[in-house]
Amino acid sequence: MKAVNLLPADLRGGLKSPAPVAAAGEPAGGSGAYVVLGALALCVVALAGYVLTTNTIKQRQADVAALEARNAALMAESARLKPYADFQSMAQARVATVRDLATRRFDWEQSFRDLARAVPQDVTVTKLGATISSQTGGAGAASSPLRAALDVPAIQVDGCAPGQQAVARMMARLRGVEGVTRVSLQNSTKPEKSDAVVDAAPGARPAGCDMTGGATPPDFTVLAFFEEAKAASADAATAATGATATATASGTQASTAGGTTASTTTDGAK
Amino acid sequence: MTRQNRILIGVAAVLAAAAAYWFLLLAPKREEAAALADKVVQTEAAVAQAEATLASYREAEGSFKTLYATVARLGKAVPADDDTRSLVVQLESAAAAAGVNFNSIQVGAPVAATPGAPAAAAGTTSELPPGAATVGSAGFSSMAFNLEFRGDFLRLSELFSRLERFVRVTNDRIDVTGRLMRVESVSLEAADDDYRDLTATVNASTYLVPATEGLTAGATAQAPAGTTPSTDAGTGAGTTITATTTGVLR
Repeated sequence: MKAVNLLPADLRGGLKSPAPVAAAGEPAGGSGAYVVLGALALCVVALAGYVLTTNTIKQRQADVAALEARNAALMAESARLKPYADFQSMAQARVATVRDLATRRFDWEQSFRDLARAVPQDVTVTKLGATISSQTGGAGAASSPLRAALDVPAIQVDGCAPGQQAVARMMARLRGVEGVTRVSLQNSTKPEKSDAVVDAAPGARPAGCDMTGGATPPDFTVLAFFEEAKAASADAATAATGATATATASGTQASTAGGTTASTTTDGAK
Repeated sequence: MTRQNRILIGVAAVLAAAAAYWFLLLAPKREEAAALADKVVQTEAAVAQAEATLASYREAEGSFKTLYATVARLGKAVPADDDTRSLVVQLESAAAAAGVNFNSIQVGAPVAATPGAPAAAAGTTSELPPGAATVGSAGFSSMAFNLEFRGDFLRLSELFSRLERFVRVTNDRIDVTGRLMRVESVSLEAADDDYRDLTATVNASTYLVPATEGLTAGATAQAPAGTTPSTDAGTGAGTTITATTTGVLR
């Protein structure tokens, strides 16, 4: 019987002698196919990376273009509406300034009424001068050098009293006026007899106090300062318009000047 | 060539090809993509900013009529010119209501800045009327007047209150019935013939809007200056507000 090999002719050798093939090295087409496949795989990966990156770039370019177009449209619309915003800013600035100016005012009526109640009956007031700050000039400005010490609202009272004790009593009563934080004496001087009016006519303005009986009542100048009014108005203005340099500067000036009037102050700050 | 050398040469070729691909082809593209990503972020931020700005502008557009009415009413408190005619009328009216005599009025010296008042905005320039000086963040001009009244003490005290009651601030409300006036100083002195008859010399500041802006800065009831009236502008055409209107500002 003749043996018949049913395997294909190209496989017969491998099955017959596998060991010799391995020992002799790779046949020419064996691992080359894997190398080619690997190279192709790398090429595909590289190409995919390139394409994906390119697509990302295109997508982002499109995004930028769309965003820039939207931005341009928004800017154009903003430019059209900007006058409204400018008008709003102007209106708000005016309201804030009016509010600021109004809240910084001082209630002179209340202060004068309180002052009128505080002045003792035996004290004669010959002149009242009220200023909202030490820098205020004009016709109503006070002439006392003490007035320049504190940059706050103040009322200067000129008058005469039966005696020095009455002046002190009046200062104590002024200290009780609402809002008054400091009462300072500028001077209290007994005039010479020849300077005063003796037995002033009823209803006439007294140039000095009644000096009947040889009395020499002193003429005085007293200042009442309203330091809290300054702080309150500054706070109100700050709340209305935000912090302002003016209020801060004034407050600093007031606190600095406060030390210079300590010797002439009869009542301390609250 | 040995098999080992062939492998080394093959590996070197592959590495060289990979490096060339990376450095010459992919890296520039990736840099370009990163730059574009940054640009997208920046443009998105710009768009967001523009949207926020536009939203505030639209809000301003929506509140224009209210603001216009406010500005027009404030014109009574802070007019565009010195408007001494109406001031005299208001002073005379206040004096009569308080029961005192209004003797005289004269323009005071210009004050660079009202003491205690906000400082003038930097760069604010305007054509001021005689006797006025710039003051305040809105570029208002301050104009001082010296006023003289005659009456008894309590009536004069009431007058001082009336002078400052033309414009009143209550919480968020500003009530305007006349000129914004701030009494800077008061001097009371008895008359020669009767100590009960006092002469009050009042130094008061009034305020004017910047001359360059005018009362409404060129705006009409329909739109501010520099814009074309919107399509619904006709609805507000009938709401004419004059400077003499007594109103309440909120």
